[in-house]
Amino acid sequence: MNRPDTDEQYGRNLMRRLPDPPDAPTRIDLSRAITVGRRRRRTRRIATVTAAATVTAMMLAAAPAVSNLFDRGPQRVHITDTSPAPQQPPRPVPSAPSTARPFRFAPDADVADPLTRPETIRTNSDGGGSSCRYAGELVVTVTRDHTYECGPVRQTFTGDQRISVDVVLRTAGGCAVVKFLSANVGSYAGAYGVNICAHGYIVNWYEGDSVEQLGTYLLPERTQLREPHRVAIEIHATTAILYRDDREVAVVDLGKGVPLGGGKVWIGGYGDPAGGDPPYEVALRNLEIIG
Amino acid sequence: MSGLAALAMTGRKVAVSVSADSEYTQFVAARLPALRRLAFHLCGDAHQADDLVQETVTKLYVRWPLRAVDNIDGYVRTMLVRAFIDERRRGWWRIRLFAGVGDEPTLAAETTPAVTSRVDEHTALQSALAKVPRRQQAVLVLRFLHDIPVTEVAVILDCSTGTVKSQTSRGLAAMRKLLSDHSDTTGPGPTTGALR
Repeated sequence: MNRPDTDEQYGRNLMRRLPDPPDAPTRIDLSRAITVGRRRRRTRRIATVTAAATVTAMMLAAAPAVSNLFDRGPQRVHITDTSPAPQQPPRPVPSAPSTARPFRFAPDADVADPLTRPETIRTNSDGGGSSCRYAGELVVTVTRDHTYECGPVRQTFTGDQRISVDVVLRTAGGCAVVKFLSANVGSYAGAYGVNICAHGYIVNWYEGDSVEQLGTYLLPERTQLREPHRVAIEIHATTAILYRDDREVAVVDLGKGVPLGGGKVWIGGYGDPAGGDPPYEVALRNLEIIG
Repeated sequence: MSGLAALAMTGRKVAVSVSADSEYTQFVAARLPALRRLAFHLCGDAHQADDLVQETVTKLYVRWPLRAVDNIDGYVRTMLVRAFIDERRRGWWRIRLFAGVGDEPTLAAETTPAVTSRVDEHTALQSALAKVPRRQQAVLVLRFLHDIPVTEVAVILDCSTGTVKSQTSRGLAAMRKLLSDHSDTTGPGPTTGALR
């Protein structure tokens, strides 16, 4: 008698026809798993300790803020406001990057370059004095009021991503630049860029030869020259969050859209004549991109 | 260093000291074939399967030693299946998706009609399975190929046994349709049934 298979029988008959893996040598490397696993353990420990410290500090900081609520009422802080940032309650200041110890990159970073030699970013110059060169770090010199790009990283990054780099402003008016989601596909042809200057972050939209300023986000205190800071840009869907030393500076809406196929990341420098006279110089270290 | 060389190296360390690392190495080395097999059935590609296992054993090391876990085999299997399903968590899956395609050892040297038919059948089946949603893929592979009971599959996927059964039913229906479409497109073959 010819009866139709039950789901169970059909499933078994069907799936058992799947082949087993080929006898090719495995690429699984247990020593690598141990090395990477050790790094992740350390990262987890640091994250746990940092989170605990942050929670404690926030609880301490929240006490006076709660009592102030009854005196002053709620206060709103507008992130696109160009006036100086209002006084913040005391918060733990994360340690600024040190040049004395090697930077610890995330184990899952797609780009992890100390920027001490031309591996990810090549050197270049424009013949007019602007250049990108290596001197223990990536030094960007800009000789006039414009943005100077050192070059993109090879990879294209789609979706959520985090770009971070240590920035040292060496001269007054010198700003570092990080461009991201740089692409020219269909109706999307441009790039977002952040000028990291002493007084704050300026977010721009670059399209062809035009630059449109999308917002200026002032820092609570000016960045001192030759003082290293870790700058990070986190992109989540159509929002970018800007950080300095793990402290959130601004949340920016990527209103010009996001390229579906992703975009490149560029780094470089910018000369701000309002801040000082050329030549402008910034130094960059420890570029990390997690896509 | 190749995986086997690494194993050999870590294997010597086991004899020297009984540490958490050597326990880990011993444990994983013994389970690698089973983990690779499961990963291969889920991914349908040997390179992706190796990546999946590599990621799983790395995560396992981070949590090692697992003092509070009774069934470590089940725990590792769960980690592997969840890593497969939750590809959004990290980009590694997409990044390596096309790596190495074409350098897979094949049966090219054997070109008899029977071998060709078998390769076609495998390809059609793997291709159909790849089109089914990942949770359904996992349910089908775990239940019917690895003989894992419904209750255990429910634990692995963190859902109820009823959900496992409904996912099984949907997965099989999808497979039936996909294979039937494939059969319609390619015409009648040497065998009959869902697979041509």
